[in-house]
Amino acid sequence: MNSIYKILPFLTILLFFASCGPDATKAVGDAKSAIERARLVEAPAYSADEFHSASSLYDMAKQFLDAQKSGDAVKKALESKDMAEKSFTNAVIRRADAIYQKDTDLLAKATAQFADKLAAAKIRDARSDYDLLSKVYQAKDYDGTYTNGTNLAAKLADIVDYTAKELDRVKGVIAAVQGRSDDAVTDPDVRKYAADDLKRANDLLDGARASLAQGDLDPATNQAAQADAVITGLLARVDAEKAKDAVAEVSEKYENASKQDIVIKYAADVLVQAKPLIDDARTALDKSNWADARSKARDASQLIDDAVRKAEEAYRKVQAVRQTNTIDLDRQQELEAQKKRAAEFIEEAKQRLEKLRSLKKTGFLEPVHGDFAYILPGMFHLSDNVGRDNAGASSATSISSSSNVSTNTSPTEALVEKYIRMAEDAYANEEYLDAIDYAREAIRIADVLLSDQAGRTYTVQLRPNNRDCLWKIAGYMYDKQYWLWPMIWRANKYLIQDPDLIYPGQEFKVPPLAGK
Amino acid sequence: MKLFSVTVLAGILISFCLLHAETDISSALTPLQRLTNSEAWLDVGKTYLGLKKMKNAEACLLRTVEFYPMGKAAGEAREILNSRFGMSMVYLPDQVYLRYLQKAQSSSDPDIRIKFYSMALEAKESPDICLDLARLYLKRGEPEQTRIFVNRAIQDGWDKNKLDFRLQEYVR
Repeated sequence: MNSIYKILPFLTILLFFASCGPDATKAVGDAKSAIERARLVEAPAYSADEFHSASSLYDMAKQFLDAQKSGDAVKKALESKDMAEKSFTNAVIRRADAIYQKDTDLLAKATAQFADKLAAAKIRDARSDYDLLSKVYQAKDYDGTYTNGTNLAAKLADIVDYTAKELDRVKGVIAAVQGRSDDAVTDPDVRKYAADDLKRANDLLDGARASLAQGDLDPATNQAAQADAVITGLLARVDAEKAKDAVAEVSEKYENASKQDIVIKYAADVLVQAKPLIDDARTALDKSNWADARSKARDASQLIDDAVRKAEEAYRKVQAVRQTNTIDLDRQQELEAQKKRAAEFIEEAKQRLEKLRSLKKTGFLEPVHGDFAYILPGMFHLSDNVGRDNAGASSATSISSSSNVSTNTSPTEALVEKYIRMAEDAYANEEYLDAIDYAREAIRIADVLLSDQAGRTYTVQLRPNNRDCLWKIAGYMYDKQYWLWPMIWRANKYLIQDPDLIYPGQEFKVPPLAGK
Repeated sequence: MKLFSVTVLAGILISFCLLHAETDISSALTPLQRLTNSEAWLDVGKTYLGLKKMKNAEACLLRTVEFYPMGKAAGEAREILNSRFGMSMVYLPDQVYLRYLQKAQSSSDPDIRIKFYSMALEAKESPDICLDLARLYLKRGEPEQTRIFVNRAIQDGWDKNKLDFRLQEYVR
């Protein structure tokens, strides 16, 4: 009996566990199963509140079970199970709604992306599936809706991706050609030489865009390709025109440079290098090698610029040397040389004048009406109103008030003296070049005067068949230089009133040529 | 207006022809001889004018221009030709210079070359012509004339360091 009392508590506990343990555990297990079932239909996404409540209740049931509070555990487990089932039901419905809506949207998008033109067969098949799906959906077959809808969504997504890629591809082609057109329009040479072609290319691009807007991708691609070809052609033509222009321009530049004295004088060595380059450029033009032609023309142009610059610098340097007031060694040497030359000329002019005077003293040379002439004794009355005074009282001899002296006046001793005086004045003022000019003129006039008295004579002959005239006399006396007859006339002006009338027996002085 | 244009063209044409035609008749003359002869032609031309022999006068005045176009006698002749004969003749120094230069360069006779070069120099100062003259005088064995023209070329701007080595010794 005692042993029965001893094992009785254990039996009681055993019976307790045997009576209540299996019910709570089962309830908790059922709740867990319901939650798992709800998870399978994506209840966390489509029925989140109910699912989370079911999960929380399940957790509490498990805690009660662990704490051996069977009653509470069963109660919470049952609540969890109810909530999970509710979540399951909601999720199934909402998932079906969502997939149906997604398919509807994808179909609309595919239609907007011209799927009817770009993927006609596929979209036809998809529409058929969609019609079936709609019927299933309206029959509230949520599982069927979900299953069919998911398959259809995959098909529609493919179609949408494909059409989007095709549209992007053609848009890219048009954009690339448009970019070339935009670049070309910024080039002034394109506007100059190929404005019409550029407009044609842009018209084609507008057409391509219009076709694209209608989902006609092939025409759009073709028009874009045509526009691209037009742009390629016009750029090639512009290249050719630019090359021709460049060669023509550099040729003209070369011609102009080669006409400039200073370039020829100071930079011919540089300029000459440009010529073969221009020839090469022309050859490249003939071979339609535009880039090479332009490159050669550019190099030639650079050389011509260098030549002109070099010539200008050299010229400026020479000018600077000429204009500088500082008397450097070269300038001093120049001045010395001019001074010496001027002194030599003045001295020579003075010697001529002395010779003239010595002849005049002999009575061999006398002025007549402003002219010195060879006087035949007793033939003419001498006029003494001119030539006596160096101041130039002669009416036939005029010296202007400026330093310029008329060279058309008849030569006189007074004129020689005047020129010598002007030469000396210029020499004194260090204007040596002027002094040289004046002295040379004095020498020349003196030579004319000296030649008037130092020449040979010719007596006019009576030859009926070959009558003398001044032209012939000049031919006889000046070795057939007939056109020198005015020299003879001038030396004998006092004898010959009319150059066309001379008479047999007249004796003419024939002056030697002055100014050798 | 039309008559004026025709007259101007005729004048220019005559000048051109005269300049071209003179090679044979005056190549033997020095510039000073040309100048003197030109003055003589003017003188005789004016005498013909006084005698009312207009054709002769015109011919003489044209010869005046032909012999020494840059002289004052030629200037006066041009004025008379213009006022009395309606010829509009102009003096173009560069063309005269080039013409004499061409004549000099086309001649193989050194004397004639010297004379035409000298005429070109009378028309326009040029260091290149001075050097050509210096070389011709050097060839003829006239050192003093060579010296004169070498130094004149230098005065006119020729770089003496670039002189022909044969002419270097004539630099002052």
